[in-house]
Amino acid sequence: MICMAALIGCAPGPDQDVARIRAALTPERIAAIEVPMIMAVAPDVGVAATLLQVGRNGDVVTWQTADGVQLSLLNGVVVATRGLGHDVMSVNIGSPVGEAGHYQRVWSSLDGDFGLNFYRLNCQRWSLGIHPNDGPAGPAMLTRVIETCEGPHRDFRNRFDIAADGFIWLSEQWISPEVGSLQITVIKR
Amino acid sequence: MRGYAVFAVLLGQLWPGFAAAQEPRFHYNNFGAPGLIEMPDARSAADADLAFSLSHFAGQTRNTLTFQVTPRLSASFRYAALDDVFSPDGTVYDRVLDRSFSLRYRLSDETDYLPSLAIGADDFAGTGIYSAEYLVATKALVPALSMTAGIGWGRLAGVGGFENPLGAPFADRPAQEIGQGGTVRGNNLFRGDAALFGGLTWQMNDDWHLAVEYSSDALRYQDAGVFDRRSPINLGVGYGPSPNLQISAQYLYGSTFGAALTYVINPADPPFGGGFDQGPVPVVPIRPLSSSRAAITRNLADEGLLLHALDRHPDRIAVEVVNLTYNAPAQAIGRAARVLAAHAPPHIRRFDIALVERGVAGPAIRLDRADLVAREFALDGAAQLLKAAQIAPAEGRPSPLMQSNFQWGITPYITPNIFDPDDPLRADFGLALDGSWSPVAGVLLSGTVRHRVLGNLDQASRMSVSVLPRVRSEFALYDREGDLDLIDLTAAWYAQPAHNITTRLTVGLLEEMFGGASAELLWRPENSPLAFGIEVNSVRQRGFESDFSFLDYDVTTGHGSVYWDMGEGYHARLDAGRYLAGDWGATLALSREFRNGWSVGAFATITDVPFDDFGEGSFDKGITISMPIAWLSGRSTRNTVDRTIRPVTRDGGARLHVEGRLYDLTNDLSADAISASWGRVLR
Repeated sequence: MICMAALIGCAPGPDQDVARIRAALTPERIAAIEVPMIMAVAPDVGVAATLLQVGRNGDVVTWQTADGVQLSLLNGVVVATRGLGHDVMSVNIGSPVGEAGHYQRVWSSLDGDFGLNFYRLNCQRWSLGIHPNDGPAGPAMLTRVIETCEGPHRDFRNRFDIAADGFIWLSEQWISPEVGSLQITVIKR
Repeated sequence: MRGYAVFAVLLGQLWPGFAAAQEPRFHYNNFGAPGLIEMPDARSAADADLAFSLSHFAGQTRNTLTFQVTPRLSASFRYAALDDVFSPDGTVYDRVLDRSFSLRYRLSDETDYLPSLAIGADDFAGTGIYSAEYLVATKALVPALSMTAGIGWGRLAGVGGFENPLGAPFADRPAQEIGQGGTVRGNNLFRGDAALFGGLTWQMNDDWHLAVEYSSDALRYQDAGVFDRRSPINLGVGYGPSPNLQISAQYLYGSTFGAALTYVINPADPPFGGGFDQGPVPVVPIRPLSSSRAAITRNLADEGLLLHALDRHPDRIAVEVVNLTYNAPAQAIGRAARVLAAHAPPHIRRFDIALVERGVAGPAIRLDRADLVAREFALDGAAQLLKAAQIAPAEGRPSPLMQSNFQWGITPYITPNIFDPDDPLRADFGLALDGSWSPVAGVLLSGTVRHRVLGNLDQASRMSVSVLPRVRSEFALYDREGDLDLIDLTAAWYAQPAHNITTRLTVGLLEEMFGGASAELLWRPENSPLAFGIEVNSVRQRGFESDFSFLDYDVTTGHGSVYWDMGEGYHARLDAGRYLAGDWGATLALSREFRNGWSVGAFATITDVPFDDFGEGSFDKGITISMPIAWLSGRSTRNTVDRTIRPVTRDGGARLHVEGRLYDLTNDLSADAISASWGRVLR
């Protein structure tokens, strides 16, 4: 797993170079990858890394960086993170990403004294229509869906670029006030 | 008066940055307490705030540590250096290094119409230089402007004094001498003349505030030849660029400028939230993993856990693991459960997991595999898992692995000595080599060697003048002799004759100053806030070279102890018995402990040693602070920084230090500790 990450140029940490990882993702390199892989970038904290699958519990897939940071995605939507500091401990995602409308999401995060805090967020989702895929893999055109949520200490906007079969190839998903958003790109489905 | 003009010009320069109305806030004053500039007010810090304050003006430097013990009660320990002190008996001291305690309690909260009200006492057990009591009220007139008015006694009745409104019984305040300190002067509290003080605070914007106050402090200990108190009016401007930091500049008493800085941390609010621990082993890994014991052992080790015992049954696996890594015992349980779920073959449906420390096991946590799978990503998965788990005393412990365990490490150390009157800031730095070897479960051989790299503790020249056996007061001799010190070298045997009774027998060089034998028994009833212990030690004083030599003094010492978990993180402990100098007495210790491992406490020991024989300080007392390294780094480790701060180290009420005392050892094994940290079971 570490070798696979190194092949692409995974460099988690404040000194990593997002552009270098992206430059390394040539079509030839991507074609040579034989296992599912995603890339995650946290612009606010200056961290980027590639992740490989380490677990699958029902529809939730857990992805992990070479240094042990995990993202757990339910059909492409973040339901848990581990190792980012201010993590998402759990989320209910409300309704499938493909559906527009209003709904509630509930998040939990750890407080500093081993307790969990739960936040109820009012969200809505709508489509911006067809959008060119600016990621390294996937179909040329994707449907862009925007999600906004409001709640205590949380007020954010997520973006999902979805293929016709419902698969999320690119997304920008908010994690916490301290981490900000993660840009998640599927490199190999 | 020119100083006021200078101050006004400085404020004028800052003025364009100020915005309109702000919410009322509290600020720390020069005594490290919520207040105006020198005067207190009636507001409180956030619960559990721990504030380090430094202020200076006119030859007075005050260092104060203030802890918001409860939402209403705060306590301070202050270490002040005062130049040119004028004692009422006529003596002038070039410099006085003064330690003092303060307590304050917010009696009532501010409402739309009523002010908040607080009562406080400063320096009630020290030399009395800062001795004062007060009752103070604070009310926001408009959101950004707050008014404070109070009545003070003692130091706060230095000017403008009037007859004590509490009546004749409180009319006289006994004269104060800068004596040996330590005695709680109950007969001084709220006595003597009273005087009024007060002021205004204007919160100009998020960062800046302005304060003006009328001070009733005459600063009567300040030598008039050096400091001229021309006015009761003080002005201050404060800047708080972050919630953790406050800086203020002041013009004081019409004659001098001052400055103060306060840094605040809150033990319940670590810098890195849930921390940077690597993600755990997925409950359902992508690829099946080996179910061999070696693979399980290896993966547990990767998770910072040591497999101590393992039994395989037809449909369950029972393990005992040593938690080497996590401050949250539930996180250790959760990680062990995930490793078992990832490795165990499909027919295994249940995991029994117990934490073990030095052979002493806590209750087994029984988790169904199906629950783990179902709750791994559930919104309230942790709560559901706790509801489904069974926590029960282990029925027949699994077989311990016949493996010895050797661990060692080299770590830097610092041994500060901050209250030497000749040099208030001495310290040694060096490297400590720790090693421990457990040949069989429950037996531990361990030792610590320290090598001093640099420092100046050996320059302490003040000799003990104690009239008691010099069991602690000759600490400088231990510091002075040699750069390589054998701090401890012991063999310990731990046993668990019943699931709630543990015993310990330790022999060897128990601590830097004493060696011998120590026996302890702890009864920790389940579902009870109380625990009871008894300890007996037969020890001889070690030589100053910290090697294998001994001095002539020996003593049998020991205590009966009652531990009380009062709930909400508050703990009390009473130890009664015989101390190292042969004195008989009791120690009361109170502490607030956080689930994340932080602890802040205070203790006092009264023995049959008369205050005069005890010497400076009158009786042993101090504060204790324990900070988990993981709180600061965000990465799990069970290491802590522990400090006991005593105003003075004397021989009365001194207790033996023994590593591995049972109450602390078994703390994280209990069902309560596991439940309290359950929020991290899926971390």
